Amino acid sequence: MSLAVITGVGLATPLGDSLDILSRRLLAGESAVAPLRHFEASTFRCRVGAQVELSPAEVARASSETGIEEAALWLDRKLLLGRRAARAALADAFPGAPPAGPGLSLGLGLEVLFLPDVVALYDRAARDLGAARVPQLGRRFPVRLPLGEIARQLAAVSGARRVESFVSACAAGAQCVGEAARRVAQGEEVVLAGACDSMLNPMGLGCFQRLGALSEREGADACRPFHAERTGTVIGEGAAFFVLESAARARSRGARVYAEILGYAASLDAHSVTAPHPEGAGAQRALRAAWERAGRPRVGYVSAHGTGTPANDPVEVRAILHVLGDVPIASAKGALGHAMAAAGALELAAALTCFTLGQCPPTAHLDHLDPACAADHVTRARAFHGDAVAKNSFGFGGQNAVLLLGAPR
Amino acid sequence: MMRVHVAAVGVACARGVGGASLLLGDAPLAACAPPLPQFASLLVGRAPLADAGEYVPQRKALKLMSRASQLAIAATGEALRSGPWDAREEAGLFLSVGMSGGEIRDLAGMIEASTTPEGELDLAALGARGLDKVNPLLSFHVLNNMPLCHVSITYGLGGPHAALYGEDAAAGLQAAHHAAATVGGGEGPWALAGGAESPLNTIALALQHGHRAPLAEGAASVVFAREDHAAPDPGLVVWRGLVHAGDLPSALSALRLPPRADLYCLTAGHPSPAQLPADHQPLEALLGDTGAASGALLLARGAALLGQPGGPGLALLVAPCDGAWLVAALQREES
Repeated sequence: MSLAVITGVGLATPLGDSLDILSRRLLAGESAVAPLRHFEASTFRCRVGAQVELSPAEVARASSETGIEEAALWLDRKLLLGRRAARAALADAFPGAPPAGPGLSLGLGLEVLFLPDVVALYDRAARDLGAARVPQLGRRFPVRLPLGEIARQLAAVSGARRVESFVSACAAGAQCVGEAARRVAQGEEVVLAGACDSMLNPMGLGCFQRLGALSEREGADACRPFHAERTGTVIGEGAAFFVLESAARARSRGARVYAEILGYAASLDAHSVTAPHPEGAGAQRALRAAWERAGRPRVGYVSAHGTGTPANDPVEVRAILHVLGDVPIASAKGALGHAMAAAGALELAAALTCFTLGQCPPTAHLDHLDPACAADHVTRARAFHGDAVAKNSFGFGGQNAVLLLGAPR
Repeated sequence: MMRVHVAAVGVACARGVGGASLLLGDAPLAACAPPLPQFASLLVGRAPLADAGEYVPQRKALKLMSRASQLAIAATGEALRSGPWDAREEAGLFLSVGMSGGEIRDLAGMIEASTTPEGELDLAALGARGLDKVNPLLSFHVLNNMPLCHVSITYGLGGPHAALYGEDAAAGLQAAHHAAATVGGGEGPWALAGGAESPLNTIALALQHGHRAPLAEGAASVVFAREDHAAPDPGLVVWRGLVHAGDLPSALSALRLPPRADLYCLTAGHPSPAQLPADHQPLEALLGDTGAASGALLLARGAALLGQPGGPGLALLVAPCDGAWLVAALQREES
């Protein structure tokens, strides 16, 4: 029995905003990773990212509709990406009028510092960032778009109520969908679930650079999950939203069903904020629990978290092999970059390709497998065989979330 | 769903760091708030906790923690003092968290190296020199989920989880709902619901004139346990649920609770007062505006009052949400 079914998909991804286009470009092995265009990054050590196109007209329209200044929308891009995807998901599920007041389950990334505000606070003589200059800024604040404001705006654009905002870092995109599925199973009629994030700004890129998590390789193959010579991840951005409802409700209104959500589980590593558990113990617990709750289906594809960092990839492969055995594995991050809080949602959309086109999207650029990651890796598009797809998302700090999806019946 | 008890409470707030008894009594914030040296003229609620050193195995772990993370660890440590609380690998953890931690002063070196002599931001200088001035550990202070991760690591909690973002009490009540549902649904014998926030930073204090109550930091952790779990000191307080409602009668109806005389109504976040009982008590009067921690502190205060002899029999915890209310109910179980 499923927790819920997916009847609407809305996307804003670096490889396009249509599920069909995203699927076909992933199957073709395309990568969206390219030199950064959002800001002058020529002196940064990492100078590539997977970027979504925003148009000045879209920004101006959003500014007019929200009352938020354009500069803030350009810098903290997740609201625009989220608006685009949330609207599209509702339109996809309900070509007529959407239902009144669906629930909303959000995965959100970190607030973005507006650096000109921080510079304005700086007292060069005292070499201090203090409060003395705050009155000059008035009510402006170094964070122009607090997460609460983003949640309110996404609720407004979708007419949603009963908002829950999950901030479990890179696990948030899968977690918000899993928790939404539970809400449907507990009786809510319709829940809009999705995540939006962009860390493609100077502080976002800079902090990940300082952590040593980013690949400094130039070019479209900068992020190479499971590759023997991988050196780190690449930041991406985007949003993916899904309309969730019960199978009975979807059937009664003749809705298209993309997939059933068969199982969901979350766990904590309880190990370290700086590194995953060496055996992936927490990841194993989440994967096993989600799979067992789904009824132990035959898994034909695992959409891995697969960041392309040296530490993460072998641990994840070990966890998958331990729980599910030698099943086909791929990571979308080689093509889409790491969209952080939105990653799980974007990659969930990519994994729907197994059901919509019957094909497994491959890991881009995987031409030299790390022996420590040995498994059945999908390196070229191949036919999907199985009853279910697993989606792993693991957050910085040890938060794990796993979804099990089944083909629509 | 199995019935779920509130089995232990820990708090770290302006009233102190300890158990539920700290939240008894109606003394206003002004009676317990020590001044903050750089803002001596402001009434703010600072928790009397230098750091969370006594709660962590190694002090060096503190370098990775924001103030909110340390408050969460202290509150959880106090809650877990009540017993061994075994099976921690399965125990759930649900926290409401606020804006990123971290102190903006930590960016002074980066800004110094990234601005022109005219005081303009120079992105080329930021990339070439400024970022090298940033503490590599900054990310661990600013990521919103870190209080949850540090609590998980410090106490070995490995079960279901969620870090729920909120600016007021709603997220804390949602965290409690998730914890109770996890335990009631059989996912582990116990779970912890809590919240933590430390808004006493330079910018928030400088902007305090925009707030309706004095800013205060705080954290609370509440252990929810199954009836059949051998808790060392099982509480008599039972979780009765969480509903959206616009007034108390409809909230009681949705919760399937009859109206009763010994009802206590505690609010946070300034829900519309028109439909509230005249004797409702705003948490802000007791503890200040504790932001994302206020839902957990509501829960802790409600449990504390219900647990004392002669206390109320039913506590309704009310927070504004979507133009209406989010209402959680705790009930004293007559044994």
